[in-house]
Order: sequence, then C-alpha cells, then structure tokens
Amino acid sequence: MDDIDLLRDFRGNLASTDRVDLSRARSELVREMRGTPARPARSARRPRFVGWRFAVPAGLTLALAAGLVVAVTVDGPGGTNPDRGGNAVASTDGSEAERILRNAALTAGHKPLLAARPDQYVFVESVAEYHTGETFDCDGKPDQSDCTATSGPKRRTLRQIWLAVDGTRDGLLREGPRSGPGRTEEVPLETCRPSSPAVGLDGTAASPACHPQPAYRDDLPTDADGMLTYLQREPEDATPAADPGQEEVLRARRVIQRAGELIQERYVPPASLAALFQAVATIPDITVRHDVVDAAGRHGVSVGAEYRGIRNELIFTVGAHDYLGSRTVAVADTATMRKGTVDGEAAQLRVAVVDRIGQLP
Amino acid sequence: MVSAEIEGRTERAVGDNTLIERSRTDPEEFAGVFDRHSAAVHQYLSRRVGRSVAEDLTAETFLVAFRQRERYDVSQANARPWLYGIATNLLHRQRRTEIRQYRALVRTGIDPVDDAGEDEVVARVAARSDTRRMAAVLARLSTGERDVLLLVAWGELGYAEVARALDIPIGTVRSRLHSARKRLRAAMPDLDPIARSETE
Repeated sequence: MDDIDLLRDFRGNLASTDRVDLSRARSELVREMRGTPARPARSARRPRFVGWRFAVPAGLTLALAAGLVVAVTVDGPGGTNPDRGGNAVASTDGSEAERILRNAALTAGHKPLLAARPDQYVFVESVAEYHTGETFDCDGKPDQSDCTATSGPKRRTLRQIWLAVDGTRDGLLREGPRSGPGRTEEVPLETCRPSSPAVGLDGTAASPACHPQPAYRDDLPTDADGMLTYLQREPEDATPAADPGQEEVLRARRVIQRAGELIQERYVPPASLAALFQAVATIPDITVRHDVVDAAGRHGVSVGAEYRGIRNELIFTVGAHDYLGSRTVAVADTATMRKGTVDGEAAQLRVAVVDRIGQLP
Repeated sequence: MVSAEIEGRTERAVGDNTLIERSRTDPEEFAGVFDRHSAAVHQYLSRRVGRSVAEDLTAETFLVAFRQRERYDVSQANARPWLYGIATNLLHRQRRTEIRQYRALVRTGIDPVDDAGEDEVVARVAARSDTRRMAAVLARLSTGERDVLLLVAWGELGYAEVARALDIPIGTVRSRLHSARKRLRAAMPDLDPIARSETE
C-alpha cells in the first residue's frame, strides 16, 4: 500500500452512498430554481419534463434503514458450545500458534456471559500505548527519501471508557497517565446525531443517516466459519502486497489487526470471542512470540503475523491463554521505527457492564 | 463525463455542460446536475467534516453552483470538478471544525466524524497509530496542500481537474501534492519501501 491508498482507507466507510438522504438538499434547490424566472427560449421548443421527477434518481438511494443493529449471523440464543466450527480439541498436529488460540477459545468460551440492558453502558479499562504527532524534516531536500521522521512522543495512558450498550447515547472517555504526574482528561463521546429529519418525497419522514455503534456486540457470529468470513472481508480495491508471495502474510496481518479492533473497547460475548480465536487459529502464517510484556507490565505470549517488519499480534497469558490485549510492534528496523518499538497497543484490564457513565464496577 | 438520463426523455444523453447551458434560460434543467453529482459531493464533504455538516454544505454547494451557472465553462462536459471546487471553498469556513476533528482523533484515538456502518469491522474507537498519524499530518498541512491531497485521494480527481476545481495552475497542484505526500509518507512506518520512493 502506498500513502494514497492508506489515505483512501481513512474514513473510507463514509464513502458509501447507502443510506444517505439528500431529499432536503434537493428541495432547497428546487425552491431556488422555481423562484428563478425562466427566460424566453431563444431556440425552437425543446422537450420538457412531463411533471417533476418523483422517481428516485438513478444513483441515489433513499433508504429507510430500520433498526440499529443488523444481525450478521446468529447461532441461536445463549450457550453455544465454543468448540463448534473447528476441531473439538486442540489439533495434535497443529502449530503452536493454533494450539494457543484453540486454548484461548476454550478459556474465553467458559467465561460467564455478562448480561446487559440496552440502557446500560459497557465499561472497559485498559492501558494504551501509541504515538501521536510527528516531527519531520524534509523541507528543502530534493530527494524525498531523505525525509526523516521522528515519532512524536510515546504516550502510555490509562483509559477508562463508557459506551452505551446499544450505542444510542453519548459515552465518556477518561484518559490520564498510567503513572506519575499529568492530567486526566474527560472526553465526552458523542453518539451520532441524526440530522434534522428530512421529509421523504412521499411526505413521510425519512430515516436519518446515522448508525449508532453498539458497544455490546451480540450481533457477531458465534461460529468460527462465520467469524472468519466476517474478519476476512476486504474492500474490492484493497491494495495487494507489493510482493506477490507475501499476499497471504499481509492478509493474515490484517485479520489479526481486525480481530484486535473488534475486541478493543467493546464487549464481545464469550461465544463470539471463542469463535474469533477459533477463526484466527485456522489462518496460515501466524507465529508465536514468547516472553512478551504488555503495556500493563503483564507477561504473556503473543500470536500474530508479520509483514515488512511490522507485526500485529494478540497477547495472552501463559498457560490459560486468557486474552490480554492487542498490539502493533516493529520486529525489525523499519524506515521509521527501531526494532522493538510499539506502534500501538491496547492492554485490557477490566470489562464490565454498569448503569451510568462514570460509574466504576 | 456523459451519463444517460433515461427517465422518459426522448433525447440522447447529454453532458453536464448542456444541462447547465440550458438552465441559463430554463432553470429547472439544473436539477439534472444535482441528480448526477450530489451523492459524490456529499461523500467528499462527509469525509472532511462529517455527515451532519456535509448535508448542509451539499445543499449550499448546489445553490451556489446554480447561482453561478452563468460563469460555468461550457467547454467542460463534466461539472464534478467545478462542484468540488465550490464545495472546497465552502469547507474553508469549516476549517477550524475540520482541524479540531483531526486533532480529537489524534488525542483520543476516536474519530468524531467516523460513522461506521453496522457491518463494518473497523471500530469507531480506534487507538491505531497509523490512523492517528494520518490525522496528525492532515491537521498540519496548509489549506492548499490539504485541499489538493484530499481532492485527489477522496475526490478522485486528476491533476487537471484539481487545477480546474481550485482555479490554480497545474504546476501548483503538483507541487502541493508532492509536499503533502512527502509528509504523509514520512509519518507512515508501515509503507512498502518501493512505494515510498515513487513519485506520483
């Protein structure tokens, strides 16, 4: 991928025309046009519209989206055996990565389901590590390969986040230094606001273009196959690997990254979490790193995939393989990072369901 | 760009320039321009400042375009660059909002603009470093660099079209794009080294 491809991905989901209602904008234009007197035609009569168009114009979709969450695959209520969809036990001829992930699935699947009402909040506490803002020195240099970037300061913070279970209410982020001096910031997280309701062309209220993001992910697949499909969806124009032999590895890395993002600062119920780890276990090119230490100082083992010196990984405790968090790390010197630099990480400490924003479990 | 408008009309497909020319005497012909391009304009605006602001700006873009239709260069069959240019000018009044949103993403890892559909895997709360880095770069570009870069990346315009849209020489488009991309590339550790050394 080059820089433009990455930029195209950024906010890429806003590029979809689905569920966008521009009827109000159109009405304003119509008013303006009709308020403008037509001048007499200078040429012979041209065919005119027969009435104004009330059909939906080609290319614009007026959608009346119903509901907040679209179920992707639901395996039936409650208590799905987390071993479904893959080998019942850790496969004896599988790699170590596969064994770890299948064990992680067992551990995850045996956790009690946290029940939640739609009006409650998912609370997640984590230690985050990331870089912000860059300084770069490339001005005045004719050859852009001479551009040098210095990563901005590394931040390691304690994050506490409250997000509405059904995504329809504002949440809150509290973020401050993990230790030592520094401010703790409180950041209100606005849920999307529907724009002023538009009136559809037939006079009924059209749905707003706003999709609340539930923090309680009971909409996810609970079987490994369904979850694998979910994780592997690539946009049609995804950039291929620069080196054709590395296509699988790049895909593996993306799946690991998505898996981490799915879990991060959300509640994923045990059946889906188990399915997630089972799904990742089936992917080739996943490797294990021992003796990793996460951002919270906990020791563990990671499974992940590397491409061009950057590794995306999921971190688990040794033994029970309880999920600890996810991380992106340089495992070799890259153009801008020394080996060992953590590009971003989320180490999960607590997940709970609470009644109010700001409330601790 | 010529697209077919098949809704009961008896004539063959016409370019945007024809519609606009006609609208000078017959204003309601301008609706065809809206129908062809409003979704694209809205998308571009949404990515820059979010959906709710984009809705108002989309409406305003077409009102302004309609009022300025006399000035349209009728040798251009495709009106999209012209419309993106108007939209981009309107965005300048939202500059503080736009930059504040990039900075919020850098600071918290949460994109105030992003509204992932329910079937998207990308979490709305993302502490991913590469997203933060991109936002950090976007916040720091000059207005001219940001406009050129995003008209190329999100508006999908070519250089000549960007030049038309912003009413600047093509050479300026090239140099602004070059300098914006240099900064982007310098901030991204994850890029293919071959791609990094390519000129656009």
